[in-house]
Parts: sequence; C-alpha cells; structure tokens
Amino acid sequence: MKQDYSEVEDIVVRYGVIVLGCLFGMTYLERILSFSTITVLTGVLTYFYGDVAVFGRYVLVDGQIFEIARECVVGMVYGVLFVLVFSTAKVSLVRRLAALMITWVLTFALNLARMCLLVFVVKTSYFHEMHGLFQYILAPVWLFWIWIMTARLLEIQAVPVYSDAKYLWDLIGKSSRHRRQKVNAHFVPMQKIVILAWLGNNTG
Amino acid sequence: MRLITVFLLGIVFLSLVSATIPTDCESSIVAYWRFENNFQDSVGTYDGIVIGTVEWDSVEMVGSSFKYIDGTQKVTVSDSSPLDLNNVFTIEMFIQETNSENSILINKGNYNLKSIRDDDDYFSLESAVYDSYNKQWVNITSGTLDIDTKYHLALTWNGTTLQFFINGVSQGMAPLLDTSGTSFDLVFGEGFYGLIDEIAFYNKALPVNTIKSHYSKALSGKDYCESGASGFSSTSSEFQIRGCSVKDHAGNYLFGVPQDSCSKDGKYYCDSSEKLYYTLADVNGCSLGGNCCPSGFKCNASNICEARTVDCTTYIAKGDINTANTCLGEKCFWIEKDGSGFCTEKPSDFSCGYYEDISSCTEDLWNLGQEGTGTEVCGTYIIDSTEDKGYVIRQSNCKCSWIVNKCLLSYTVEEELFGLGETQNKFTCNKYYNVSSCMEGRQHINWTSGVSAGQGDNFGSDTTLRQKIANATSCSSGELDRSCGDAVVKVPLFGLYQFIAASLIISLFYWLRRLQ
Repeated sequence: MKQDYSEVEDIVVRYGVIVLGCLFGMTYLERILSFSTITVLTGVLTYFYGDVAVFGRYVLVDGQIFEIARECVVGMVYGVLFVLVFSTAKVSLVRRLAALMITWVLTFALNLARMCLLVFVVKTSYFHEMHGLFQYILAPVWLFWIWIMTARLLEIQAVPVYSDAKYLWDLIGKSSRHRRQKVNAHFVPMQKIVILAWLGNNTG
Repeated sequence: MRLITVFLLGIVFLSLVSATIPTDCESSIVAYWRFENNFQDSVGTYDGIVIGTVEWDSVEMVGSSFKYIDGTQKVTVSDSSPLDLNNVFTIEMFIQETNSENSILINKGNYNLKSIRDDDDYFSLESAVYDSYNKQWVNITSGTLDIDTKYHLALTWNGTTLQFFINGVSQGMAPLLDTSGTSFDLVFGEGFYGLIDEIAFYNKALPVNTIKSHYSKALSGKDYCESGASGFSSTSSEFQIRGCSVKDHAGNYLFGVPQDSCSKDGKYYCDSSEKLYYTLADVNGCSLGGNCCPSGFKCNASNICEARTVDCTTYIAKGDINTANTCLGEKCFWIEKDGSGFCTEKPSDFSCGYYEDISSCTEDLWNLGQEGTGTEVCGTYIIDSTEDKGYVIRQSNCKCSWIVNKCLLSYTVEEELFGLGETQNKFTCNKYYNVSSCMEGRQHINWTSGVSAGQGDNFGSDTTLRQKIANATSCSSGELDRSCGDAVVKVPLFGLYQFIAASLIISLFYWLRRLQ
C-alpha cells in the first residue's frame, strides 16, 4: 500500500508540474524560443545570403520580410512534448529530463530546417504548397515521430496519460472492493449478534 | 603528353592569376593597393616596399589598413611610367589622420597629395600637380578636416581640368593642360600619422557618381571592386543608377531607389548621400511624410514603421489624413472608379492596364502611372559610361497612356545634357502590364514593352544604342511571380488541428501496439 501512495504522489507531482508549466511557463518558453530561433535562423541565413537584417521579430532576407511570430516558433509543440514527457509513468527523473531535452532539441532543429527551406523557396511558385505540406501533413507526423523515437531510445514503455489513468482506475477499483470487504467483515458479527439476540429472546 | 601537361599547367596558372584579380573593378584601373596585411598591388605588378615599423589596423577602414605610428614609416613603389599619370587619371585613397602634422600622403615628384596642419585637432589637404605646359604647379586645397575621422580622397584630371573630391564632394577644380613624367619612386605617407587604405590609380577621370559609389562602398566595408547593396551599382557593366540600388543575394540588380526617396515596396529608403536604409530600422523614411514602410506596416506618430493591426481593405470610408479608422487616415490608398471606391494597401498591386477605357486611362485617378506596377524606374538616372552620357526618366514623365485600345504605362527616357545645336536623344517606352489578381499573397505579372522614338530622336539609325539604353531602363518584356497584398510572410506550423491529429496518431499507435 505504501508503494501505491508514492505512485499517487508521483502522479500528483507530475501533473502539478504540467499544470504549472502550462499556466506560467509557456510565455517565458515562447520568448526564449523566439529569441533563439531568430538568432540561429539569422546566423544560418547570413551564411547563405550574406545580408540579413533583423528588426524585432521581423527578418528581411533577399528583399522578403518574414515575421517570426509565436506560431512560427511552434511553442505548442514544445508544450505538447512537455505534457507527453511528464504524463508518462514509471520513468526516472533523469530519463524524463533526457527525453525532454532530446525532443526539444529535435523540434528546434527540425523547425529551423523547415524555416530555412521555406525561406529558400519563398519566391518560387510552390512555396504555398510546401508550406501547406509542412503545416497539414508533416506537423502531426513530425510530433508523433519525435515522441516515438525518443520513447524507443530511452526505452519508455508506459503510455502517456493512459498508464496513469489506468493505474488510478485500478487503484480506485481496488480501494472500493477493499472497503466493501471491510464493511462486510464488520457487518457479519453484528448480524450474528442480532440473530443470536433474536434467537435468545425467542428461546428464552 | 608534354604538350598536354604544359596546357594543363597553363590553365591552372591562368585560373590562379584570375583568382587574384578582382572581377568587378573599373576597367580603367591601373594599380590598387588594398593594404590587406600586405603592400601588394592587387591588379598590377606595382608592389610596395615598406620602410619602418609594419603595423595594421583592422577596425577603421576597409579590411585592414596600414598604420603610420611614428611619422618615420613610408611605403615606396618603384618608378614606372604608368604611375607617372601623364595622361588622364584618377587617384583614390582613404585616410584617417591621428596627429595633425604636415605630411605627404602621396608623392611622385610631378604630383602629390599633402596634409597641412591647422592646429592640434584640424588639418586640411592639398593636391598639387605640375602643369608642364604652363610650367607651374596647380593646387587645390580642401576645407578644414577633423583628425580621427576617415576621409575618402579622389583627384581626377580629364585632360583639361583637375578636380579634387573629399567624400565624393568636390573641393574645387583648376585648369591643368599637360603633365609630364618623372623618374622618382612613388611614396605613400611620408611623415604621416594615422591610417591609409585603398589607394587606387586609374587611367581615366572617373565620373563623380563612380567616386561617390566607391566612397559608399568603402563606408560599408567593401572595396572599390566589390558590388554592394548601397550606393551606386551597375545594372550592367556599363550602366549605373543614380541613388541607391537594391540587389538580390546573388548580387543581381533588382531595382533602384532615387535619392531622398522611399523604394516602391517601402522596404528601403535612400538618403541624399546615397546610403540605403531599411525602413523598419530607421525613422528617415517615415519622416518624408508619406507611408515609407513595407506592406503590412504604417508610419506611427514616432515615425517608426509599425505592423498594421487592421487590414487596409477593411476601411470603407475614404476619410482624410487626420481622421483615424479611415482609409487615408490609416495611410492606405483609396482607389475610386465610377463613383465607388475601395481601400488598398499599395497601388503597386495594380497597373495602368487596370483602366479599361480611354477617359479613365488618361485621367488616371488612382495615380497608377506614377505609383503602380512598373513605376520603379521612374525618377531614376542612368549613365552610359561608354558614351559618358546620362539619361534620365523624370517622375513627371511617367503616365498612363491609351495606345491601340489598351492603357499602357509610358515613360520618356531622355538624354540629360546635350550640346548647343545638338538634338536631344530621347525615346518613349510603352509597357503593357497584365497583372493577375493577388491570390494568397502571390501575384503573377507579365509585361510587353515597345520603344517609340521621340520627336527629334537623335539615335537615328543607331537602334543598337537605343535598345541598349532601353534595356538598361527596364524597357523590355518579361514576367515574374511576386509577393502582393500582405508582404510579410509568416510560416506557422502547429495549431489545434495539428494537435488533434498528432494526439490521434499517437493514440492509434499505442492502441495498435496493445493489440499486438
């Protein structure tokens, strides 16, 4: 029973971290991501184009202005990965942090590669098709691929959210059965007493 | 076999030699000492030898520059007749004086450039060339200059007049009829304290535009031979646009921006010294009074381009510049036709071809003849350096004209200066633009151009020259896909749809795994 309670504590702590992270961390995360994405993207583009100008969240490359908005730094992907990592049961803290690090770095690198590719093709006729391909086809697959790769790499067996939910469901079920048994255990002697008393009265 | 080896070695040698010669230099360049941690002549064979301490500075000038620290150093180049400059010439160099002392920047015996001490903080420059016809020195002296400030010097002689420039601005001119050679070595920086860089000799009097161009390039850290984004740039090897020019990343000329003007796309501003600015990072563009900002931005009260929160097309009232939430008040353009109108971000998404009848075309209510597609060339100036003639497309000469049942953009290209009794060379360019509607920020345009000779056209039968100038002034046919509407590109990736889709895929994966 003691172990059960420590797992419940673990769930409470993990989901507490998720709630706090989502409530208070996303704004800071997006700021850091915007800054680092613009900085690294500018560096990469400068290598290819030579002259790249940055004005706040706007990047001017080859006569074309790109806005590195919140949607572009894909803060939501980082958030979802954060939720996936912390909603997975039976993972040590070190492996959890490693998973977070791997998924975030992969996301950052892939997003940077995507943005560079779109900058390269922005003046071509197939820019919109390519952007659509990334946005509607590759984005969900991409998140899935990053998570599954990381789970395999770190041998994470548990299913995010589901494992916790199943555990809690089982725990509730087990606890209610136990309570029923307990009630029954108390109820039988009383019954006996009542029956015996009734029998005594009737016989006496 | 031996022949093949010699041939291959020859190719290797030639490629090595060609790699050392700058590719975009003036063809008239004779010698060019860049002082890139050496005293070599990068275009000829007139290498210098230093006397005294060798010290370089890599911060102030173009690349590295030679640092004269104690007044005893000098760089000597052996005497050679091309350096005598006894024909038309230009000398260019960059200096920054740190101690005001009398010194000689360049000396070849028959010509020199001197620094004259005024007081501790100021000095002036004197150029002197010996006139062998009149047997006297011809001098031109600059105004007072500050120490610790870099200056670009240029001395030109066109066969009759000597002219001295500092930072592209003439300091004066004087008649000079003939020069003669000397057997003296060429010396740089005798008694000088400070930095010297980018000394170049040409066997031609460079036009002032070229001198200004070299000055602008050097200010932005580029040598005279490098093609750059600011200052003057060639549309071809023979033409230059006056003002600033914008190039793509491959160095191809895109369009010119006249002095003190905003580019048609609102992304650039060119100031009076032909320096190019990004309007998003500078207040000069907005201070012009219009809306010198890229599409999707507008000038705010602090003269800074800020992103629009409301699209221009949502304003239904024309209003005026002082009324907020109206088309003109929000610095959009109001376009009217047949009594009704609409508000648009930029008229350059439209062309003269939008007018469908002669009266609306000639009336040009929307000012598309001056603001619409293709008008980037209006207000620009080109120089045909082979003929040494300038051609101008005046802003006022750009208009919509009704020709053969179509409304065309027409502009006149005319020779700027011509002699007494000469006929002015000019022609009219007519361009028909077929502009497709703006779909998802992209727009396809194609255009056909035709040249019609102006009255009194002096090109005569020289259609080659006329065609060459026509091409240089964008009077040619073509097509392109371009951005339109919202010029700012956003590349979002992940939203609610993607979140749901990813969740489903992950769930499906675990469900299938469980089934196995």
